[in-house]
Amino acid sequence: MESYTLFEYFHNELANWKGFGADKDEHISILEDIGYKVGISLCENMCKDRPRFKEEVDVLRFLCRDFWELCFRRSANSLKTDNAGTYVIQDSEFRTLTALSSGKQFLTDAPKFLAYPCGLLRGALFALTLNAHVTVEVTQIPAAKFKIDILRK
Amino acid sequence: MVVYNLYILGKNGQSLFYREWLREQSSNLSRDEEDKLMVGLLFSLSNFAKKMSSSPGTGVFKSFNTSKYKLHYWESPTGIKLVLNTSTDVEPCHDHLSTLYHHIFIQTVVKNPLVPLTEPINSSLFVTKLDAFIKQQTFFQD
Repeated sequence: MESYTLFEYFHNELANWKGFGADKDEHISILEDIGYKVGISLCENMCKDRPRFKEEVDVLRFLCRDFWELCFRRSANSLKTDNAGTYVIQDSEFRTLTALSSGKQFLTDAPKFLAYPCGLLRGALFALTLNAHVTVEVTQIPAAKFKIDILRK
Repeated sequence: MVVYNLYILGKNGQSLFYREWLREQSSNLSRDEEDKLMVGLLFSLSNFAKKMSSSPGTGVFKSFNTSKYKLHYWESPTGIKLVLNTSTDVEPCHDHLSTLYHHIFIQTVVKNPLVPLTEPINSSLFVTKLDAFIKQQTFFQD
């Protein structure tokens, strides 16, 4: 069994765990926090043999390709930017959502399965010295749209 | 060559899923009763196959034929039972059921934590994939 499958089942249970309490927002923010810490460490590990990134957009490209490949076993579909610190990453078959449904079923439960990935991205960006705010939008499973706002000091 | 219907039964005999593509005569039993009948039959046949087998301890019930239809059966080690009824001229499709389990059931039901394995399956993705899989088999005719 490949290692991604091990993660997949573990993450499924974690995302759906009832032990976080009834407050959905708290549930999501705990998952996001966990993802954040993991993202920082993962990124440190991944980047140890790489040269420094020249520009912000290179960091985002690295996120869309290499980081996505490591965490979700595929590359994100597209990266868009408004050149003012906001980036949109689109993935038409986001890995934590593909088994749920294809369409509108379980749409209300989708945020639980996206909290940890959002945290991963935020952590990875932090490790690469970019403070960012990561949100995600899903209108049709399994397509996910991640919005990254780089916070300037 | 026609596919009539499919039953998926759980470990304790509970009904997980039923789908029919062509059924000319309904049995006038409720879903529950029909599934209980099916479970009883499968249990008896599996035991029979094991007991009457020529070498001890082996003997897996795979399918039976009647004059009108053929019933194909596949059971996972965890007790999930797949039952497919087709017309009599279809080759034994033990492998097809196994593929169905590994590539469709596992990927859409087991990997989906929002669909528990103790209740009837409520995933439209599962139904879509199952339909597509069955329809693309050579023995399916519309």
